[in-house]
Amino acid sequence: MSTTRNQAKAAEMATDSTPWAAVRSGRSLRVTTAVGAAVLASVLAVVAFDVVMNDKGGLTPQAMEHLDESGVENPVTAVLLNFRSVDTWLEVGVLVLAVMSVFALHRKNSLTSSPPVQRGGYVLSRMTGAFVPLLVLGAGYLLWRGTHAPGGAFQAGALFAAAGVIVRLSGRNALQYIQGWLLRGVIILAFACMAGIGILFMTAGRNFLEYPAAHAGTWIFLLELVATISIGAGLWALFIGTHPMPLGRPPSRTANGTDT
Amino acid sequence: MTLSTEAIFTLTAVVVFCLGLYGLIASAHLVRKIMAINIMGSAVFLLFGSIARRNMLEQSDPVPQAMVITGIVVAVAATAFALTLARRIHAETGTTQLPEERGSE
Repeated sequence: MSTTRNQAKAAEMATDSTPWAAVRSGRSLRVTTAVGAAVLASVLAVVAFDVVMNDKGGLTPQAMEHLDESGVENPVTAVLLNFRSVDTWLEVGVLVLAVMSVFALHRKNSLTSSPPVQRGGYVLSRMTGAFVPLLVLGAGYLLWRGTHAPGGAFQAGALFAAAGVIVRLSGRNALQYIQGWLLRGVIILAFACMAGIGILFMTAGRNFLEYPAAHAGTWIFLLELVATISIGAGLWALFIGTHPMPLGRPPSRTANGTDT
Repeated sequence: MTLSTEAIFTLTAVVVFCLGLYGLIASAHLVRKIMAINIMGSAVFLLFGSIARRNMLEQSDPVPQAMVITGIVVAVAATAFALTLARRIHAETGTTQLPEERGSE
């Protein structure tokens, strides 16, 4: 069915005599695009150069002025988890949405029923055993460090995810020990927690995610902790979801390509 | 005339962005397109890094830096979704190109 539609489309393209059809074909497309990209680059260079060199605005003074009441010492963490915490909330929401979309595209395989694609040898297994605890320790350190220096939930979450990816690549089927509902719950934890806490503050007459100044540091650390776990689990799930494995149809029907 | 670090970062970001744009349009393979979008995204992150330094104060602007950190996770999520879409297209049609690209080659 789709083949006939493609053929109809191809026939339509072949009879299309507009200049655009000529542009779309082969070398002329590349040349046109290259020229267009070069023109765009020179325009963008002037604009971006002007912004970076001449614009002295920005929110640095405001951020530094209110840093004392944010509950953390690192201005980037203050922006992420306090001044613009709605951004972070929606960002963990995007991660949840991406995980859902990726696994919605799989017909049979669910998150916890996908076995590793390879078996690790002795060296890889031993190295995994050595590296994973170090990565978890590093993630904890980055999380703690984020309150006063560069670091925080995103970096720690990335390390957590990296630990999971190494376990996955070493051929251990860690997923069989994890209940599906538990993993889904962990992925959605940060989004739900931030929404819940935000609404809790709203019922107390504050704005969404506007922490009480006296306890802002505690709230931020708690939210960073759940965000670390959710980001780590979400990124790990995305890796599992995009890792080569039978997707939808049996391999025999998809094996006419080269990348399965 | 000597270029400051911020100026070099800015110009590099613009060049890398346009290279990514060229790759996005000129290459037909879906994985190449996804990589091109990632290259464009990295250029934007680099530009944000130099925007954060535009005040030349002792403290960098934390807002663009925070947006980069948020953006990286969103970029990874979008890339994973795009790769899964590409694999599904391959599973359904047996090719790694969009119908429009196939019609022209």
